[in-house]
Amino acid sequence: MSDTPEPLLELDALKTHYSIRDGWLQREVGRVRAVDGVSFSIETGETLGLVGESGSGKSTVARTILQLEEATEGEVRFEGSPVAELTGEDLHSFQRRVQLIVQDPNEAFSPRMTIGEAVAEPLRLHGLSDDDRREAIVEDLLERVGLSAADTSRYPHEFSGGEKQRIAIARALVTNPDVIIADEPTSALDSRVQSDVLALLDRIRREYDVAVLLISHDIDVVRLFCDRVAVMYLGEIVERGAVSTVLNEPAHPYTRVLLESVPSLDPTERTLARPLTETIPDPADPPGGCRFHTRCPELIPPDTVDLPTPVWRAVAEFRFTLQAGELPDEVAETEAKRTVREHFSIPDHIGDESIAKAVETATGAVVGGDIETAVQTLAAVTETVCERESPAARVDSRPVACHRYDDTVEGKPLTREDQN
Amino acid sequence: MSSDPLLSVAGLRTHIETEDRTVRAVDEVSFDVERGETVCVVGESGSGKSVTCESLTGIVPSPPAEIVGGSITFDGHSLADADQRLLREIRGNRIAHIFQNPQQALDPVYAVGDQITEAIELHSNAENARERAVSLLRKVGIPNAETRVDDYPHEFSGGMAQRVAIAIALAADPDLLIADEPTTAVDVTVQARLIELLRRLTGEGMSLLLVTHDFRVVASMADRVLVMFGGTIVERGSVESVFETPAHPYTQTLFESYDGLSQRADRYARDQIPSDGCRFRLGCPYAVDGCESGEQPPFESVEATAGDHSVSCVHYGDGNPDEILANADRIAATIGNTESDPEGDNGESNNE
Repeated sequence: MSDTPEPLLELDALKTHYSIRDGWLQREVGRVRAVDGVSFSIETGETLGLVGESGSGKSTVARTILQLEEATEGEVRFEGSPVAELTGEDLHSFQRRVQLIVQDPNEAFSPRMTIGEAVAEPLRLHGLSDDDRREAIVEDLLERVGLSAADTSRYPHEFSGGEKQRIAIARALVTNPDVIIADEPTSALDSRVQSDVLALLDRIRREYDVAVLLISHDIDVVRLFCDRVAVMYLGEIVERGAVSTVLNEPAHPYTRVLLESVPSLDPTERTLARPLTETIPDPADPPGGCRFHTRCPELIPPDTVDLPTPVWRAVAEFRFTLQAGELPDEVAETEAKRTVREHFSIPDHIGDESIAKAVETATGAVVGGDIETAVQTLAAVTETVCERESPAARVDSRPVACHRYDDTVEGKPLTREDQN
Repeated sequence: MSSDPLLSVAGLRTHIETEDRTVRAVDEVSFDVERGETVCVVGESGSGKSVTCESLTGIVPSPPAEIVGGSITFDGHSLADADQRLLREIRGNRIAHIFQNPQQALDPVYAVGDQITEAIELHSNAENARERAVSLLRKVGIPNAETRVDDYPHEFSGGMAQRVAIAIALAADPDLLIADEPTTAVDVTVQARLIELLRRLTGEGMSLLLVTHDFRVVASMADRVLVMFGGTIVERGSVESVFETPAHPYTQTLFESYDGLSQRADRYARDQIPSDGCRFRLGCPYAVDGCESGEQPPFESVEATAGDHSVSCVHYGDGNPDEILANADRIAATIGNTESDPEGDNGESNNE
């Protein structure tokens, strides 16, 4: 962290939970923990990427910053002041200084407003009543984003998706903001247009010294645009740091899975990442300990277990596949224990007595149709630190929420060789 | 090739009538798909890639679209001038489509099993349609198929719904699956599993015609690649040769968007697409006078690579493509290195 006392925008252990209500009394029956303890900061002029699968909570982070959702716990601070407590002129000023660009440019504009009116609207809302000045500002901005002053009288449907996103950038800039939150700003665009719009956003943010929080599921976009990146999974940040570090030397197993799920541009290299299970757990009932443990290919074995990595992983995959209800039917309905073993590539001989016994019992239970017993049997011998304790480690002084990097836990980061 | 290709398209032209003009959405497009082969059609929206595929089975809405020329031969049957009965039979039994948004293809008020059995019954008189529906759901990797078969489309996640759509497409055991951006709406982790599923199906002998804008998806699945722009094919070849030597200037601009922020942003202009000559000439850094002549530059082979890699660009053949090929080498080197060699730290990134 730098010496500056107050970052421009800071999230401190932010939580945003949604109530799940049921029955005619609308009693709360559960809570979706969409954002569950997120902290990061953005400095003036900096670009931070927030990546993760859908359901990770990244858009809820944006909505909570903008006060479109109420924080359940923790706070958002802008120049040191808690945003939730802003009122009157201060609140107005915050709304002017933090702007949003959304994914679908078609949703961003009223079809009945000319784009001149649309871009000028925030100015009007914030009390600039001089028509000529408004017009001059709008025309200048449209030219800066590559359109022309003559476009002010045209309607949104006359523009392509990429042009509309340029107009959205112009509108976000009109109040002279310090932060732009861009939620999947180029996902709806073709790759070439996407790269044009990103280049524009990049030029503009340098010119105006605006900080950008870029929310994206597209790692290519984050790689090209951002200085730093935070990776989210089920409401939590699992890893953050400089883009060049996180995307080139990802430390958290989830970051590795995300990066290796993206197909390579080399057609002779077609291997794709394989997490233990496919399903993202329900954010209303997230797994204990490290939330990624049910899918983690680098799950740490219990202290007492000493197996080659592929064997341990096969056993873990067996357990969590059953637990997630992802067992393919042809395996679920087999009458041969061998089929179950072969499906998970579990060897006949396992060099750990308790695991070997549990696997034998569990395969028997699967064949007998008793998945519940199989899960319990496996869970009893494979319970790991990853499911008991929430990780909070650091790698080269940046946060990586994984026990593999925790000195108090046995289990070292896996190298590429270990993984195969 | 010893035997005839499964699908052979020659000189296909599809026009779309708009209020003020006729758009030549597909203009003289020719390609083949062999049995068991995966052919990827790459291009941006408006390139004609979807209209091309929808023209094959006549599902392109007509009017406003009309196939005005060319031939489509599928396993010996001519489809371009086929009557509706034959088209319907081929469309159901031999060629199936899936689309970007599976929820649009699924009817929200019927259980998915009913939709699969409907597809089965439409194309064969299977007696155990329900059993077959369950086995199709299994084939596409949906766990608990026995109970899931009674669930409704909204009860499936995006990735699982796409699997259901694939199950429906497989109901008639098609020879060719036409997939239009099937993984665009899902997360990369889900996309990875869908890619594996489609690869497994083509491994079993099904042919796949895949429409996408994403070269990463192409790299992960294609045997051969067609690059389209402005209704025409501009480059075609094996996936290895196109990725090793992206030869058409348009293909190069598509690849460049993976390796850095666009250089075009500052001289941004609305691309006008001409309806003759090279369609890309107005956006092309190598454009010369000759680009305007004729219907479309003739296909010339890209000499740097072996095989049937060819390109519709005046600089090849009798011209001099050295400068373009040098850029191709540069791009190939960069994309090969994107994983290990970032575009460089500008010194501003701040390590916490």
